[in-house]
Amino acid sequence: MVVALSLLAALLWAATGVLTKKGTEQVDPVVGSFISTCVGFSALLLITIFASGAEVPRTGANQLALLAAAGVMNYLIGRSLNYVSIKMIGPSRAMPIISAQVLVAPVFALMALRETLTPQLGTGILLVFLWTYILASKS
Amino acid sequence: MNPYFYPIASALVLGLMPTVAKLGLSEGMPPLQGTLFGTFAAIPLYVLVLMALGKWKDLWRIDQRSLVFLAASGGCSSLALLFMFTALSLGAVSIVVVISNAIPFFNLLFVFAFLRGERITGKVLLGNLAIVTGLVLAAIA
Repeated sequence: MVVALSLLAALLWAATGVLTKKGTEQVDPVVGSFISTCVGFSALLLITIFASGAEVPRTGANQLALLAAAGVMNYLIGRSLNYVSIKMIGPSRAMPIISAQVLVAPVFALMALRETLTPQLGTGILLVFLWTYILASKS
Repeated sequence: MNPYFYPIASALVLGLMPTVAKLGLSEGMPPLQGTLFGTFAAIPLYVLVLMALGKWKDLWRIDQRSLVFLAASGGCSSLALLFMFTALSLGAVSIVVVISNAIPFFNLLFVFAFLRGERITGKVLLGNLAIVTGLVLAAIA
C-alpha cells in the first residue's frame, strides 16, 4: 500500500511538472503557483466534504502547526526556492542540487523519528539520487 | 548572497517536509484533512508574498489556456501530496521519499505517451533503469 501510494504521488508530480511548465509559459511562476495551490485546495476541500462530511478531526495544536508548516514548506518555500534557483543559476545546476532532497529526507527521519536505514534502502536511496542527479544535470 | 544558497535551501526544506508531515499526522489526524489543512495554511502566505512582490494584479490578466493548465497542475499536485501524506501515515519516511522521487521515470513515460518527437537517449534509459532498481530496493527494504 505504501509503495503504491508513493508511486501514485510520483506519477502525479511528474504530471504536475509537465502541466506547470505549460501553464507558466505566459504567466509569472509565483502567480501560477498561487493559482495552482488555490485550485488544489478547492479540489481537496470537495474530496474531504464528499469523503468525510463536515466532520472536524480532533488533534493537538502542535500537530496542526506541524501540518501547516509541512504545507508551507511544500507549496510556498519549496516551490519558490526552486523557481529562484532555476532563475539564478539555471536548471542544469539547480536541479541536481535540489534532487539531494532524497538524501536529506532520510537523515531527518533518522534523527527525528528514529527510523532505521537498512543496506537495501541505503543502496536504493543512492541509486535514485545518483541517476536523478545525472538526468537533472543534463536537463 | 551566494546563488547556490537557494537550491541547497530547497533541498533542505523539501527534505525536511516529509518528517514534519509525519509528525503532524502522528496523533490521529486523517491524511485527507491533514493535506487539506497544510494546503490551506500556505494560501494566506502566498497572498502576502504576491502583495509584497506587487504581482497581485497579474492574477486578473491570465489567459484561459494557462488557467486550464495551472488548474490541472493544482489538482495533480494536491492529489500527489494527499497520496504522499497517506503513505507517510502508513510507512517510513525514508521509503516514501525514495519511491515518490521516481518522477524522472514517470516523466519518461509521459514523453513516450505525449511528446513523440522528443529523443530519448541510451543514457536516459539507463538512468531510469537505475531509478527503478533503486525503487525496488527501497520497496523491499
